[in-house]
Amino acid sequence: MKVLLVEDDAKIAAYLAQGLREAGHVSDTAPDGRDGLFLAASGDYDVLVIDRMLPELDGVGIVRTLRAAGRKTPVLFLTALGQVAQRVEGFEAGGDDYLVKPFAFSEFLARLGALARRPPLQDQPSVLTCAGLTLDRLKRTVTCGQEPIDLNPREFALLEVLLLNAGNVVTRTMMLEKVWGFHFDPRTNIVETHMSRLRTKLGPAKALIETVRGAGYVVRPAA
Amino acid sequence: MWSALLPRSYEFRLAAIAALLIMLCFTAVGLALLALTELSLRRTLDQHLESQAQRVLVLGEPEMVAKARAGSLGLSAQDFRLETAEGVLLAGNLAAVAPQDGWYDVVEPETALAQETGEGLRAYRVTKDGYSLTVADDIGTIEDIGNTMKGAWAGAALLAALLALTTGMWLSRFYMRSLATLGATANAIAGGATEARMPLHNGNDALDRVSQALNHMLDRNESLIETHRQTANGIAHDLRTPLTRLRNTLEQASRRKDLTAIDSAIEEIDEVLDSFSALLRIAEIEEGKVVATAGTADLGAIASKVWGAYEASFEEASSKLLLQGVGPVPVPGDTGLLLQALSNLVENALIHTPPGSTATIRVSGDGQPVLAVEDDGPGVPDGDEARIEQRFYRPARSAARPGHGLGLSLVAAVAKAHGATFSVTNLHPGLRIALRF
Repeated sequence: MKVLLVEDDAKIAAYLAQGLREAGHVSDTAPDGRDGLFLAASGDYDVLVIDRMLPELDGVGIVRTLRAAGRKTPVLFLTALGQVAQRVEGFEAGGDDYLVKPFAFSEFLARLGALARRPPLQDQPSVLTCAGLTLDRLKRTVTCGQEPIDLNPREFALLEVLLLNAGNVVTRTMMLEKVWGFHFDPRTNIVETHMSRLRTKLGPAKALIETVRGAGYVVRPAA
Repeated sequence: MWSALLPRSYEFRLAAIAALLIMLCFTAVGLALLALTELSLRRTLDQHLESQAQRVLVLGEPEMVAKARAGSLGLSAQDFRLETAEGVLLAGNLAAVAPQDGWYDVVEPETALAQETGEGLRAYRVTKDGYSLTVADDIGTIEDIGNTMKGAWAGAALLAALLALTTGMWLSRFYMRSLATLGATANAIAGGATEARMPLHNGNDALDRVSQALNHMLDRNESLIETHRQTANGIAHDLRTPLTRLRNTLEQASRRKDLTAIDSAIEEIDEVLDSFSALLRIAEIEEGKVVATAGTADLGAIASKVWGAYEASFEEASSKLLLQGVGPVPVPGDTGLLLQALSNLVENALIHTPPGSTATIRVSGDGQPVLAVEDDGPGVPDGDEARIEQRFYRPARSAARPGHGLGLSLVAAVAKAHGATFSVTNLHPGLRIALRF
């Protein structure tokens, strides 16, 4: 995947670029808002990673300009400002996701993956399948082969998030946001607890869900 | 005297203004009184002159002339003049001051008597049966009375002004002294005596109210400073331990080229970062940057969401999490903040109770909306209930349990941002923490 990093802190930019390279991705970096906007508008990127606070033109300004020009490239905001109002401002400007500094690189990579391959909402299928596992999002049912599996709403939501992002790592933080609406990090391991229950209920299909150490979980589609 | 007074110009000015005002009032009242008195005295004099003249004229010609010549008219007026229609003086001592019937003010009378006193005359002339009678009395008496009054009044005004000046000085000096005390106290506080407070005089006067307001402000400032001091100390203490551990871990990793040690170092850094995020979040909420009550939050929905998130964790710890009181309980509030606050309360119940315990989330919307978490664990040491919301508070026996001692500070901050009361009750056994909206 081809990523544009618009980040004025040279150390962070270099660290992220190296990480992306090691993960097999290509990246360009821009040190300020004006260069960032120029590159974002001229290049063909899968994802834009934009810092909120930039010299010349701030992150929100870049995204507003891009969206006004009809560019739909997904945007991940990096921000030291974690306040709700600022996040909301970012989303309203046309951002697709945000990450509050400091963050773990694995979290960064997982969110990039989710953004780059996120299908438009209307294209999301109502029935998700993977190996023998079928999840019907309208009927709210899960079956493994012919066998129905009884999941509670949170376990269902966890599996749904994993299947929607099949092939991509879903981090703990992403699950907390999507399944529980928690925009904070609880001290107890509620994600792990629910994942282990989900795996128990899935029985033989539990092998589908892989734990990525230090990052999160991933469902690997049958190769 | 002036040089002694002028340096304290403020109090002197106050007193002088009061004295001046009083003198002005006195003068105005005095002038009015004087005018009224003169008017009334003149009227009396006029009535007197008129009745005298009438009495003489009633006598008729022969008697009147005879009596006038004999000097036995019995007039009490000072001067009179009885003359014929042609102006021939028949009797009396008055010069021809009144050419026609009517009233005259004679400013420079030519009578011997009037010239002696040098004062004006009031004269009245009336004609009957060919004889004209002029009676006159000097108005010096009225002027004398007026002058006496003026003198007395001026004296009184001066006395009043002096009194006003001295009492004004005394009063303003009293207030200035109180103000000076306030100033001295403020200087003392600025100089480091932060426990000093403005003195009160057991009265509910303006000065006392100002002092009370200042004392209230000082109390609030002191508690804020105390909170900040605690936070700073807490951060220093709280960071020292993990940073020392981190240093040791990294040293070991470098010596042994041990990668797992680096992983645990990262975990430790994450903990420190968590502490920082929590502190920043609390500060953000406390500073009122987050307007919590702009939207509407449903306590019932929040409770069931949090119950759903943690019920499995309790079961895993062989404990139970119950939810009581379902149904919408809307309050003006921020769902995200309340979710975090309730999660903290529930996590506390999970971390600080032994296996087999039961915790309950209670929501009640009857009258005052209440969100509470109860457990049947060991509670907190008696007397610690008020300290529990302080940053970095951790009861001695829970030192081994995870946590940075910020969870309840955050809950208290969220409560405050919602205008809700935060209360901690030891249930013996157990603990109840309630937010009342």
